[in-house]
Amino acid sequence: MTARRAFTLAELLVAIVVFGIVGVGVSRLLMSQMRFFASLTGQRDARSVSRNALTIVRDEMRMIEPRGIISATATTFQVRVPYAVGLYCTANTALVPPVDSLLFASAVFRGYAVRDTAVSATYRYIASTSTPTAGTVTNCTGAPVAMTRPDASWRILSLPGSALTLASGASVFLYQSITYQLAASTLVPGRTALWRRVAGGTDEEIAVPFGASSVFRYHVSGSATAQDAAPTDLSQITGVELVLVGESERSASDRPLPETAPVRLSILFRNAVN
Amino acid sequence: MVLLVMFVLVGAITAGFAMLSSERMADDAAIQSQGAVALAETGLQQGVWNRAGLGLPRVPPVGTESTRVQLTGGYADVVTTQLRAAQGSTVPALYYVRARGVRTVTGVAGAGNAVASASAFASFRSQQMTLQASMTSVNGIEYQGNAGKISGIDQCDPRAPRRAAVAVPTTPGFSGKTAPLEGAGSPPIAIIGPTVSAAASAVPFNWAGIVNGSAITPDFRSTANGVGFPASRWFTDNPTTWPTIVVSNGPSPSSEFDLNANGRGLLIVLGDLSLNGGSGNWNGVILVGGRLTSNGGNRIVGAVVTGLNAKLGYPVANNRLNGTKEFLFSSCQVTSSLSSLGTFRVSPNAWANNFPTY
Repeated sequence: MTARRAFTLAELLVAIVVFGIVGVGVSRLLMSQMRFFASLTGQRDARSVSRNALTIVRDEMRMIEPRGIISATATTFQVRVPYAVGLYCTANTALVPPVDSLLFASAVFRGYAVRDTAVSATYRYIASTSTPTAGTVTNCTGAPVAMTRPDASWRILSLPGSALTLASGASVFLYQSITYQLAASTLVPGRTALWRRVAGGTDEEIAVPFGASSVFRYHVSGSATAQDAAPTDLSQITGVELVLVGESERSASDRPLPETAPVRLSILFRNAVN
Repeated sequence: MVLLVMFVLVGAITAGFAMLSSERMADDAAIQSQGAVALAETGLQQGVWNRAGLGLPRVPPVGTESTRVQLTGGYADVVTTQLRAAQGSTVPALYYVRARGVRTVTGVAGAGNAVASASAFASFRSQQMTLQASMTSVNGIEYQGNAGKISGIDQCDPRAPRRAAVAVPTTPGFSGKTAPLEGAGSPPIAIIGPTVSAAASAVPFNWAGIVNGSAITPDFRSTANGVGFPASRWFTDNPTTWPTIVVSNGPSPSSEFDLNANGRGLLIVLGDLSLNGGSGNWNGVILVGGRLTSNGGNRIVGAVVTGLNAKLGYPVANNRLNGTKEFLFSSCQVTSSLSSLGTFRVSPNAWANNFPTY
């Protein structure tokens, strides 16, 4: 009968202790890694929230001209956003260069603005819900206006409303009325979302969630920095500063609060008064 | 156990790298997007205010022109389209200028180029020059003989109000026969001040700026002996171009430049100018810092202003005109010759960034 080798009790106890110590270390490492991963994921989500919002808002707001601002508070910014800029011909007809087709098709017309330097240095807004229709080409190309329509992608639009008295060549733009608002989210209940509400169109929750300290601030003519309150004369606003504190949707298991990613972006209106 | 630990650690590291990569791509996309916007805006600005720097003719085209501007990090394609020609001197030409900025440098391998657009309406205004006479001389004029003609009647529109044939200060004034002069007044001589210095003040040119090069960037710059002056062939090959030419022969020391070629445009002679025989024919405006000497049968259609160095305090001798020369006022030639000095003016508040970029 051959003797069978085996671990002694002492060896087993030592092995159990050693493995126990190693196991505790490994589990702590794993827990730490998981928390770190969760934290990074939360931070990325928070940054993503802010980033997505900025991309959308920035492109629209750069075309704003200051007299198009309807209201401005720390949490709401209502403005008439140009989506097609053109030239006035005659008989309420405008020549409009090509515009991104999706943008043009999805815009909800709420009126147009005209700027006749012979009469006023500022735009005059004419509200209307009657979408411009195809206009008479010769109103732009015929005498005495004699404009050239470079190709068919340039729209010739008949503007609604009463007849205008405008010099040909005056600037015209079509606008939609959009309200940006920091308000309660429906996608993530209990949290704040950035809403884009299009008059006559749909309300979109374009990014969520944001921290309660997210606000709109305003650049005002003559000042290099943004201020909290909008001026009484809204046409003095030359830009908007978005202070958006993006948050992760969930907080890590060991943290009471969600991850945050504050972003501050100034969008200066390219069509500001000059 | 070891395998388990390694498996978990490798997984965590892989996830970390993946997250980092996606984060980098998102950040890079935002950076490139902003870069493309900046390129488009830069291209637009260059297309409007730096046409000469881009090698484009100063006067924008009747139809459409395009050029690619190489910029740090990418390029911008600038397209200028005329929407309406100028109507007389009051309604300027209208243009649509757009730039498509393409960011070609990316921080992440394999990422596509970011693209953005910027556009604006702009009007092109030619320079205007108000002239009292066909020949305005801050210095005096000595007209010898009875031949030739100086006319203040607009060759472009004879129904337009007539101008004087010559405009001079009371002293030294105009001396010689007045029969060759035609235009408003009898004789058709306008007085622009009692003295040379008064006349110099009355002529509203930024001559100092022209002399030091800050007011005008010429298409051609010639030496006193004609090196750099466009050849006759150039005028033949560019029949619709009205260049600005500066002859650097003054104001001090001043020498005489002999115009022995036919041409057109805005000719600025910083010193004295000599027109000899029938070869010195010019369509457009001639600005002369010193004196003008005209011999023979040369013909100038447009307008002439001489003695402008008096505005800088230099003494200028009288012009001497003899032979069968003709100096005929023409508002069309004046306007055409000043066209290269015109500038774009962007229509305020009509900037857009949604021209299709695809």
